Parts: sequence; structure tokens; C-alpha cells
Amino acid sequence: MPINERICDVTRIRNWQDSIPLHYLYTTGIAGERFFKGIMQGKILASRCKRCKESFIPPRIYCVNCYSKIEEFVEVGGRGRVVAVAERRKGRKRIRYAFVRFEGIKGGIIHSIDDDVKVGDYVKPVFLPREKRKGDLSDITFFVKT
Amino acid sequence: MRKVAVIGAGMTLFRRRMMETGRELSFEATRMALDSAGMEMKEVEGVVMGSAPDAFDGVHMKGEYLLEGAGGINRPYTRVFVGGATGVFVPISAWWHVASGLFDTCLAVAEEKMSPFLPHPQYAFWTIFDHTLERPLGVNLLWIFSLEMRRYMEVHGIREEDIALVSVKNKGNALDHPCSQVAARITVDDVMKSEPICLPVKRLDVSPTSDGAAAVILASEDVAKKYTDEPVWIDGVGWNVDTQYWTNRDLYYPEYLEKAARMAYKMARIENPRKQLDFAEVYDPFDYKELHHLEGLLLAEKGKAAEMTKEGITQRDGDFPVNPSGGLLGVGNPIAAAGMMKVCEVFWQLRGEAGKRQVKKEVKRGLAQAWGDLLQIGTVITMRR
Ligand SMILES: [Zn+2]
Repeated sequence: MPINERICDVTRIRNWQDSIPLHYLYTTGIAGERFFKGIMQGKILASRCKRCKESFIPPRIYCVNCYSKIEEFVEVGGRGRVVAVAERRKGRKRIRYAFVRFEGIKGGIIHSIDDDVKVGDYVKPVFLPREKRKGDLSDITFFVKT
Repeated sequence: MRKVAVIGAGMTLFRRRMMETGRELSFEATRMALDSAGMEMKEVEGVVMGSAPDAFDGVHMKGEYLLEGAGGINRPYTRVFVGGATGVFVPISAWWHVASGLFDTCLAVAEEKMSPFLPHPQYAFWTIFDHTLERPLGVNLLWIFSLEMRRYMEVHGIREEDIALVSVKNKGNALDHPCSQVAARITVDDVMKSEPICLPVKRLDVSPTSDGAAAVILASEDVAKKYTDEPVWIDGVGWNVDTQYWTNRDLYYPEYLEKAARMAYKMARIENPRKQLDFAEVYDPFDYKELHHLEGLLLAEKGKAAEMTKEGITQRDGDFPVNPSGGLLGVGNPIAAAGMMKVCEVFWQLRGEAGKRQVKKEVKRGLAQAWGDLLQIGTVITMRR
């Protein structure tokens, strides 16, 4: 029997209200610890496979190509480039996100961008002042044009 | 169907809380399995992943989330799930991928990261119960297992002290396992005096919650022989699922497990399992479950598994060693990974690579089993040299 949308009084059908509380304490992992320690120092780190000579973001402890163990983490040296932009409005405020990739690095990250950033622009991260950083993604305020 | 061999195995430490993410745990176990097989990921054709309820890791698309760590990128990749029985179901699933002729090699990985769930992983089981009949009572799994343990004791006149011997044995065996989480030399008295959780279940009757992963690599006969002179063959697989209304069953005996075991034995041409098998890794999240399962697997007569334990038959140097690894009670219980750990142990025992855990007698055939969903499924795998 379908519960028709027109039945406005749902108590006419026996029902149960319940909630399942879900609380989590996640670990960022071996590579994640390195990544966020890097962020606290104002660096974006990639992991680098010795065998493939390729680097990855976000960093992993394994190579995405050859599945070797990775122990080398390198600072992303090249410029970031905006691949795509999305925009939403919160009241009168514009909130803009971009998918940013880095020269010579496989993968990318998603983060907020400054108002004037467009697809194809070269960008760099703006970090919070050192004493305000907590070791998570919000330590980067946004990406601005270089 | 083609013959299928296990050619490599690996696992991580089992711990209450690991720094590694689920992906990283999956990688560590898989990398070890590949290395032990002398294989590279590019030689793996298919990947089967297993992990228990998403509620633990707290990523509600866990198969996809773990894929990369388990080496599943751009491959035929599947996640299978049958609750606690998943760990043994993963190699069963990988087995049919190879036995069918679809692949020559298949990787089987099982992972569980239970520690993220707060305040305790046990509460994640709230998400699996019937919302109308069970959850309003505030039940957790320990309640239900308590009912089952009591029923089993009642029917056969078994005492808590007899059951405690299993915990003593397994925690002791785990002292020799380099990955173990709760290995200990304890006495029956320690078990009896341990904190009551939901009587008759006490703290030392139960396995812990854990983070960990384990993996095995399967290959067809021709391919296996290229990698190793000592393949371990999977010669029987079986599984059977009963209704989730566990109240349909008389809890004293797991009929679904007997059916699963008979399926595996028929395939492996085993008529007398107690004689034809040399040892078993039996699912032991609780000490009474080892006894319960030995009976369901037809390795002990109904109600006689406790006696078998008391006589020392199931000790590592006994006539029929059970859980020489140390089991879930000693090594730990990262749900899916725990079942897979048993398959790894059978592999290591049959290859004579179990080190200090190596059983005393010569072993040619072994069995691994897991149990899960809501007291409703048995998964069984038999292996031979
Ligand atoms: Zn590589």
C-alpha cells in the first residue's frame, strides 16, 4: 500500500521516530599527517614515487601507478592552475570554489578562490598567519592569482 | 571449474586504534601479500574487497573509498559484504573469479577500521537492527550473543568455566603472533572474574574492537606454478544465509553453518571432516562461539566441543589444533580483516611458515570459517597443500 502524499496526518499510519547518533574521530593517516604538517608550515606536499618519478596530490603512501610504497614527500614547486570553477551565493556573498591542479603533479585539490579568479588562471595559496594555523585545510584561506 | 591456489598472504598489526587510514591499512596488507607472492600489482587481474558495516569507518561508500588503497584502480573491482562473515567471503568470491576462468589472478583484501566510531564501535551496530522490533529496546550485539551463549550452555549443561578455557587457549596462542592486540597468559579464574558486560558474557569472553587489514592472492593452476613451488589449494568453499529473524532459530546450534560446511566438504570430497582436516581456524569473536562453530562445522559432536577443549585436543600441540593463530580473542577483531587473518593463517600453517605458531603435527589440510550478519550466515573455506 503506498503512503500517498495526500495523507497529511502521518500518525494515521503507525510509525516510529528514531535517530542514530553518529560521532567519529578520524585519523588523517600516515600521508595525511605529513600533508597537514606541511600545511602548517605553509607548504603543499605531494608524495613522489621513486620508481615512476611521478608525484601525487593528495599525497599517498602508495604509488597510484605502480603500487610501490612511497616514503618521499616533496613540496609542490610549480604554479597551480584553475581547471574549473563553481559558484554559490550565501545571502549577498559569493562563495567560489575551484579545482586546482599543479604543474607536473597528478591529482589536485579543491579550495576557495578569490573573486577575480577565472578558469585557466595561475594561482597560489594564501595561508593564515602561522600562529592561527591548526593543521587542516582551513589554514589555506583561499587561492589568489599569481 | 579450475583449480585455484593461494600464492601469497599479508596482514597489518591489529590494534585498538591505528594511525593509518583504511586505504593505508589495505595497502600495507596487500603490499605484503604481493611481496610474499613475488608479484607486482600489474599482474593482478581482478580485485575483491571486503569490509563490514560502513558505520565503523564512517565513510558510507566504503568499497569505493578503499578501492585505491586495495589496488583496485582501473580494474574489475568488487566489494562484497556479509557482516562478520565477510573476511572468509572475500576469498570465496575471489575464488569464483578464478575458478570460473574469468581471471588468472585475483587479489582478495579485507579491511576494517572500527576505531573512528565514538564513544565505542559497539554502538555502530545500532545501525544494523530492525527499527521497530529491536532498536527501541536499546539492544546491542552483546545482548543477543549473551542469549545465544546462555541457550547453548543450557541445552548441553556447559559451564562458563568450560567456555573460558577457549579464551585462555586463544589469548595464549596469540603471544606468538607478531600482529596480536590482546595476547595474554590468563587463567580461567581471570575470565570468570573479569568485568561483566552482559551476563553470561564477561570482558575476557569477548574479542576486542580493532583496526587492521589482511589480504591473499589467488591464482589459477598454471599461473600459480610460475610463482611458487608451494601453492596452497582452495579445494572447498561454502556459505549459507538464514533469515535475519534470528528468533526463527533455536540458538543452541548454527544450522546455517552446518549447511555451509557441508557445501564446502562436498566440493573438497571430505566425508569425515574431523579425520580428513588437520586443524581449523574457527571464528571466535566470543569464546563460546569457537565451541558453537566446531559443532556446526561437524568437527565436534553436538555439545561435545567443550570436552574436546578440556582434553587439550584443540591446543596447538593437540590432536586437532583450533585457532593456532590466537584467533579473534587473541590477535584481535577488525571484523572483515579478522576472518581474512584466519585464511592467511591456514596458508602460513600449510606452508610451514607460521614460525612460533606452527602446529606440532604435520598438516596437509586446514579450514577457515567466519560468521556474521545477524547470527545468520556461515562462510567456510577448506585448503590443502
Ligand atoms: Zn610508481
